[in-house]
Amino acid sequence: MPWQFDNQRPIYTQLVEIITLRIVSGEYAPGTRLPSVRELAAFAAVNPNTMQRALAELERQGLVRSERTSGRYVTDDAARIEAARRDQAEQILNDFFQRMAELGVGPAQALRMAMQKKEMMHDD
Amino acid sequence: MLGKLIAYEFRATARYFLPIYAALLLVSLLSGLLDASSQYGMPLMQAILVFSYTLLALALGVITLVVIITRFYRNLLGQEGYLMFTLPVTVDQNILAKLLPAFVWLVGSILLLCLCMVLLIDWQLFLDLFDVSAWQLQMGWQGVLGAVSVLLGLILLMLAQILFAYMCMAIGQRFNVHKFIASVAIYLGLSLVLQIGLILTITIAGTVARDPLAWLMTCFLATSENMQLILFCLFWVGGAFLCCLVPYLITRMQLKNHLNLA
Amino acid sequence: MTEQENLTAGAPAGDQAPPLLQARRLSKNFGSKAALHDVDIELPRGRIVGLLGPNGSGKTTLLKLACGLITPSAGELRINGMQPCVATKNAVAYLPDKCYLNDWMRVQDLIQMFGDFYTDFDAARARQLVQDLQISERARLKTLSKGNQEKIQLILVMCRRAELYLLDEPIGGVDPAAREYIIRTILGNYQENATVLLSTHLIQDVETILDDVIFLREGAVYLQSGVDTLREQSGKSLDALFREVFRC
Repeated sequence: MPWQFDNQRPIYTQLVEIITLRIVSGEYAPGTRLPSVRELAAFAAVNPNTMQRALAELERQGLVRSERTSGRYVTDDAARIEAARRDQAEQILNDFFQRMAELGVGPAQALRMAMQKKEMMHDD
Repeated sequence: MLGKLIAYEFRATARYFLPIYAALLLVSLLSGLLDASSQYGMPLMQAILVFSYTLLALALGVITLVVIITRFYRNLLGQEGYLMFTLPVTVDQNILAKLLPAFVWLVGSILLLCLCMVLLIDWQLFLDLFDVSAWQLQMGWQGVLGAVSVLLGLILLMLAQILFAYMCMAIGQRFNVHKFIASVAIYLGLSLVLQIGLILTITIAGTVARDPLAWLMTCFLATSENMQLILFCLFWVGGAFLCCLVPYLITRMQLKNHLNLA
Repeated sequence: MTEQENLTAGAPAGDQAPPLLQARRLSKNFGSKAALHDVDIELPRGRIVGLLGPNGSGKTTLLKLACGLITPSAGELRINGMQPCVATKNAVAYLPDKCYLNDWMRVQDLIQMFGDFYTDFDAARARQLVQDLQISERARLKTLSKGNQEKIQLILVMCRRAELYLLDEPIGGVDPAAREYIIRTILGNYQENATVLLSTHLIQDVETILDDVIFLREGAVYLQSGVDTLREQSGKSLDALFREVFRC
């Protein structure tokens, strides 16, 4: 099924985000071989050139490495993946505080609400 | 590639001609047979057959004309033109692939009608045709040249008629609307112009150009009979060829440089 | 995979190889109306390019010029360095926005015909795609629904291994499911040495798959750019940009 995109932002950037997420979450496990560009592009229903650009960017970031003959692999550098996880989490946190601020909820109160929410979740 | 186009063209047109060819042959054969075995009489049957023959012959005439026109118009100038003119073929190949099968069907229809007439009227004559001995005529090379030239000229004139129609359609398609009406108008208009031109030429020949022409005639008659024959054949075939060449080139130019598909 | 390397390398090395399509000061007039005016375009290989513009902006005229169906009034258009001729017609696959096949023909006859005239036609793949759509090969084109007719025409064109695919409004006038099928087929047909130029005014559906875009406005090139670059620069979707540029 095609992945969803926001047409207002470059597609390749969004592809980088989606694939990073999948690597961080373990869906693309460390050290495993990624499908070929064509296959990935077909899954995502995007242009292979765009997918190529995204993968090149991921290579540059060190999340993906390519072997000349056998294709692209997810990095098995656990630290790197951890760093990516932290980056993504940071971004979500920034997003969270920013959006709460838009609602008129300051960071301190936002944190309190988050703690309350966490307690309720533990009770399940 | 031309061969493929022609094969495709025959396949597309055969379905119109073959059934009626078969029907005509059948009717003529039956009628001829009944004629031959006249002890059975059956005047009503005869009448029906002859009537059917007439209808079918008329139908064949109409079908031949309609198919020749519409194949060119629909397949090259209609929506299918988008296919035909993007195929890896030249404009010449596209034109010839319509012209040659059209000619074959035209000649075929004429020959078939002749054959049917023979079968209808005189069965015996048909069998006689196969008697080769009757064909031995003292012809000599002049007879052969004459016969071949006349035949060639007739063939070329038939092709010229078809090409003239093609040319009118090729010019007519340049209009954005009412293309077919434009083509018909051009056909009638040009035919009229040609007629007038012919009359004018004859008039001029009979008056202003009388003396130069008389002089030419004297020169002509001064040459040997063989030379006169050769010259005549040359002019006849050459003229017929020109009647083909001019509309062909005009058609080609229109389709190559001024194609205006809807 | 060397395929990945090819994609990384981008356009083939060489000012030696002429561009796949090059238009220089291309103009086309119909009577007094200028359908195209001074158009300069260069298309590299291996791209999916959108030709966008409102109705009457000259998109179809440009595609017809590239096919050799019409000749320029001024300027030139070259495919692989050649003006449109039999050789370029072998390299170009054109899908008009109308039914251009004899609708009395059966699907199998059409596949046969394409195979006869085009050496680069993959008949086996065409049959497979027709089967996947659950359309009978023995069906006559006129008996199929409009959506299916368009899909068959698309399949026939896409199963050619051409260098330049020219698609005129491939998704106009079809239902969303058919649109998705068409877009998937176009993507699935991607080859590194071939380029797809598709003209449309339904941008939302296709903008995800476009590499580059050319905006045509009243017969002239308004802009030619990579799509993601445009998104980065403007922060807008292609659809939004289009509406802005062509606001009535």
